[in-house]
Amino acid sequence: MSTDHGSVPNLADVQAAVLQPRPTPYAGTYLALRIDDRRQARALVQRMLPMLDSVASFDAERQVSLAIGFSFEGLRAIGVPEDSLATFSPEFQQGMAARAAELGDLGDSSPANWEGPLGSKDLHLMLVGLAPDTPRLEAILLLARDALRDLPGVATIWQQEVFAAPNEREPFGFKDGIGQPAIEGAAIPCTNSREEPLKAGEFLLGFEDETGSIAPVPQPDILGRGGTYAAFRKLHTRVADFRQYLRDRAADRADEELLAAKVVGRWPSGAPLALSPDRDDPELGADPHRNNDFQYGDDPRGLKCPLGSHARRMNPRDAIITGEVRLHRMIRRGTNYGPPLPQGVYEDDGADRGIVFAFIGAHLARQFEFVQAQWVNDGKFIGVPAEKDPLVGANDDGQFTVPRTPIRRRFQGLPPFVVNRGGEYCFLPSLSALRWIADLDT
Amino acid sequence: MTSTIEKNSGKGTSDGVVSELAAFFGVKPGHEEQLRAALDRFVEVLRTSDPAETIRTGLRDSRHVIFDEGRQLLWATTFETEWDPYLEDALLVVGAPHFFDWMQHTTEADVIVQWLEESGGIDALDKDHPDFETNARRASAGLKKIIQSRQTPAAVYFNPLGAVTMTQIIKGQLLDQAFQQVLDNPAAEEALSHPALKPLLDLASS
Repeated sequence: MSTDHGSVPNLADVQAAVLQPRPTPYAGTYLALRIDDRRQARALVQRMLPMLDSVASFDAERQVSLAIGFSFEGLRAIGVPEDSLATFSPEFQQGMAARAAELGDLGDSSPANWEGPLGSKDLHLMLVGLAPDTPRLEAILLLARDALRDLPGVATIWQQEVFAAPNEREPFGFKDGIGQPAIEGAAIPCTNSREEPLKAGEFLLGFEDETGSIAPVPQPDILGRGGTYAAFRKLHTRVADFRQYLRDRAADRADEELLAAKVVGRWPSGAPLALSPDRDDPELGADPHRNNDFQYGDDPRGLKCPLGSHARRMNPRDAIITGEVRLHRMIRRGTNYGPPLPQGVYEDDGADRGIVFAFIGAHLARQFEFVQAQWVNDGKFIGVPAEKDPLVGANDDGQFTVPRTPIRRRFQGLPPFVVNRGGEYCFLPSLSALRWIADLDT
Repeated sequence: MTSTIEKNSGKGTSDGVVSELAAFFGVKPGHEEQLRAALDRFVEVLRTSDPAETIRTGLRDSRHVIFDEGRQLLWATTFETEWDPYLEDALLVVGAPHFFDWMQHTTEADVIVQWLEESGGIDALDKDHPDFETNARRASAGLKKIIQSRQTPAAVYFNPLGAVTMTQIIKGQLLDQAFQQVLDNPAAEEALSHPALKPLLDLASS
């Protein structure tokens, strides 16, 4: 069991990608590797360590980062001892596919339909490279691939190119990645002046969290402390279905845009309905000092922003809900893949497009899995058990209520607009832990 | 006819119209699995009862907890109305055999068997017996006595819905369903604009 070594994280030891916001725009690549030879995998980690920035050493001008994460099977494959593996969280040990029922990954999203090798025991090591443009991404990937040279015991088994457009729009056409939490001691700018920074232990293992305690840290301490968990999911988006659904129920084009904003909780520019309930405000959406600086307490009935909208579900802020919001905050990173469906197109073109979503947090169960089960795929916490998240929920003939005076609007027959193509739980070790892993002699 | 017992019917604690009952029983050694199976049957009877009958019993909830490594059983239930009619009507609705089914696996089994014999045997308390109702009412005092001998009143009890009865809750639910149907009708706004319906219109926005 870990003992407290202070409540302030050592940012020089935390992988930069854990806490650093991503650049805008950016290009990225997810690489999944299988470890067939643990000694070669350790050599790879050893070679990559000099390429990894910490939060403290991250170059804000260069904005290039590389991150390393391990699945549970990956830690086992590289030789982390069994008594150490047993100290990781039960959800991480089981892996995302085994948690499908808890996550609502059913039907088209069930692991049986996932894209291989996602969800398999072959996915061991995940490398994520991000850069402001493709040439700089290629440069860092070249270094990563060079690190893999003459290591046939580590095989690349999956690759996914991702990107963030200059306007930061996700495939549905809305600006994404706005509402990130502020963290004590992390020196990351706070974008909501009304939200107290969260304890570091919510996002880094080995530090005090919002419960006032320190969650169990994977052992030995050098392996677990300063690390965190990540969940990544490749989410296919049914953009044409989304547009058709809204068009078929809207009175006109303006109403269609309003309904879409009510579903999302923000306008396409990122302007929050809480601050601009009637029309988009691109200036507000583009202002990082204002576009996340609000609460919902003045809108208890959801007349401005529906209680069930995607953004309000993901962070209910000060709204009265069942549960404590601060225990379920997450760092969320969404990034696009596939070609966007051009504006005004309502027919599906057959292209695979979507989001590679990444969660980062120290508590897989009470952060990621809780939010997925309670806030995305249920409505009891806001008093509407029949409703799920209208945008990303596992809807099947779902319902969505849009409060409005004098009479609310209610939409039925919601289909799923997002399908999970697969994912995995990863552990993002600290830099010290990566050195410890590279030096293993098991 | 309501049977009477010597002990005060208000032994449990109340909040508004709801009272609680918590009774602790010993589990007969080696009977834990049989007890669990009997409890499954008991709760299934409650779950499949006609809602109107459930209202008659006053039942708000019921749970059985086996603890102390299978050695003890807690029956915790809450109900509306007073103790006497509650248990008496529960016997009539649920049937004594279903109480006997699980209670025979507790350390009160001998007392339960004696109670059954004094009540004319289990067949006399079966719902198919022609004199079932008379027999059940006559037998309820004995069952109350057994349960009360194992009862411990709650130190405190809070129920945020203690002010309303099941009938009121169900009526509220039905009213809301009907109201939502009205709101789904495109003509609702015009219809609710009549001044007499303003209280309803005030609730129509969410």
